[in-house]
Amino acid sequence: MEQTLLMDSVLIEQLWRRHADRLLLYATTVLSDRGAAEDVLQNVFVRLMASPSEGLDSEAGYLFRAVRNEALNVIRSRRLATRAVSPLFDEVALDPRTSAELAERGRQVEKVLLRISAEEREAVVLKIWGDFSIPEAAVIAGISEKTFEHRYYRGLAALREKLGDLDHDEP
Amino acid sequence: MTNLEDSLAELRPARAPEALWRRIQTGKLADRRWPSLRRDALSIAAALLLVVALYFILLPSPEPVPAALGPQGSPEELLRELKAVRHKIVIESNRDGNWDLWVMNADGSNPVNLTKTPDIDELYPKVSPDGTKICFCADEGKGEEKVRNLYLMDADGGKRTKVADNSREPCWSADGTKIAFLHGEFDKFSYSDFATRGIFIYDLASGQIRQHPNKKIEHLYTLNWTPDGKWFVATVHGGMGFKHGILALEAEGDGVFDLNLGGCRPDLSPDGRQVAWGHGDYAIGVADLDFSSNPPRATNVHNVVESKDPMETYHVDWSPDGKYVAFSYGPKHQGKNLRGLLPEFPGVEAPGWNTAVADVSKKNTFVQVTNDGKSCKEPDWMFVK
Repeated sequence: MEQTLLMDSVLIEQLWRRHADRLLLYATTVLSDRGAAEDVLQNVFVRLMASPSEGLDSEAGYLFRAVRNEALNVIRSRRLATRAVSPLFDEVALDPRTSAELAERGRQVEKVLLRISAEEREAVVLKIWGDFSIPEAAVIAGISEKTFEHRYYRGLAALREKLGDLDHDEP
Repeated sequence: MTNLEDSLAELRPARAPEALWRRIQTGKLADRRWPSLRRDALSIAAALLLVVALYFILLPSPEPVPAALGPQGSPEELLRELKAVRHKIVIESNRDGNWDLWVMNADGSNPVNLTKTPDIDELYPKVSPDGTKICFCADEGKGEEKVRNLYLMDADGGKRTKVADNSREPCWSADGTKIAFLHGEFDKFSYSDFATRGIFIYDLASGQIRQHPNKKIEHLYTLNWTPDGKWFVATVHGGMGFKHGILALEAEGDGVFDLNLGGCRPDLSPDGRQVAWGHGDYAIGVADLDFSSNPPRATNVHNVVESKDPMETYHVDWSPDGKYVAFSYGPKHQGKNLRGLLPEFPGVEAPGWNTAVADVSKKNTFVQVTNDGKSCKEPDWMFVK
């Protein structure tokens, strides 16, 4: 269903609250640079405020595509060094044990996520944390579903190999 | 999904900083960043400057410099101050193999067992705004028959009356005429505080109970009611489309909004303008609340208490004058014998946990007011005229 985004400040803030965390994760993993990723989000949202966008298939899809395009422009305009990034994941959990487990898991995933290929990383981030279906994510990445699926499962396999026991249930 | 996909999906993307949103609100595009080489050179220069500056700063100064970190006030002074506070604190504690509610002075002196019921575990006290009544949970029955019910009693422990079966996490309306609470999700007993479904409101005068209009409410805990009666604030864990967070819920509507505070177990200040909460497991956060904005939001987030692993901080509660917060303070549970049950859950053993009080105006200035470590938790201030 097509929808029109009325770009008043309230709606922009609602978009921000709904999507900013995962957009930032996505941009950070594309750029490997948290500061540059924040700049990308800033530019995308500022432009959104300035120019209404109509006829969007989905607000999330639109925002991810916009962030991707902006991030690619950044990559094209200069060489980015792979930099230490702020934690990609929160460790918020109800209880301390889960919180500690999530923190450790987050550190491990972050470490290996930034080591797999950029294309596979993007596929994994879009599917898992972007929460898109394979067809939706393929559109954002600008590739065919088949290619996306291939990258995604190769990315998972690479993560599985590097993460090891994360793939097992607790005893 | 495979185990790996599930495992990855459990990780929550780090929160986008509020400062970035504020930058966006200025309507300005990001400044163009310098090439990496130049930035690195600048970083090195800045670091060198910092080292030089630190050298001069750390030289002995003729004037004493106040510590930037650590407590801003002394626990001893705070304890002396608390001796003059007339309000009291009620807690749940397991001091003799059974959970009871204890009332004590603000400095922890003169503890009195209000319940003394060897077969019933009384928990989660919530004192009425005028300090005359206490609503609380009672775990009754054994084994499969065990159930958590909601009761009301006078502040001295007398005149116990049941409010609702299979219910928990109560809070009072500001005028003390109503109690809101959460219904248990399952018939089978659960210690998990988020095992709830639906908000219900009990009218003390009529004894009638009505359900909140939003029937989709689930998995809330630590319910609060704003002084104007228009909002509830509570933690959600895996419910209504939220993974975990602190929500503002319209008291008479379907609106549900994430306040975007990392953590759990909020408590509203007496004037409803601030919220304190467990900002992670080792800090008590305080933020300003703005219910006039759409959506409601929390701003000016800062910590008033910052503890260190393994000492956790939970169950914060504002004093009636808004000057102090009481909270639970104890070691992270080690070992697996409480698997699935956590010391911060009401009625779950919390060895070494005590009640502490912090001065909200001074960072990290707090003092333990119980010292026996007998699961002294869930403090709630009692207003005294």
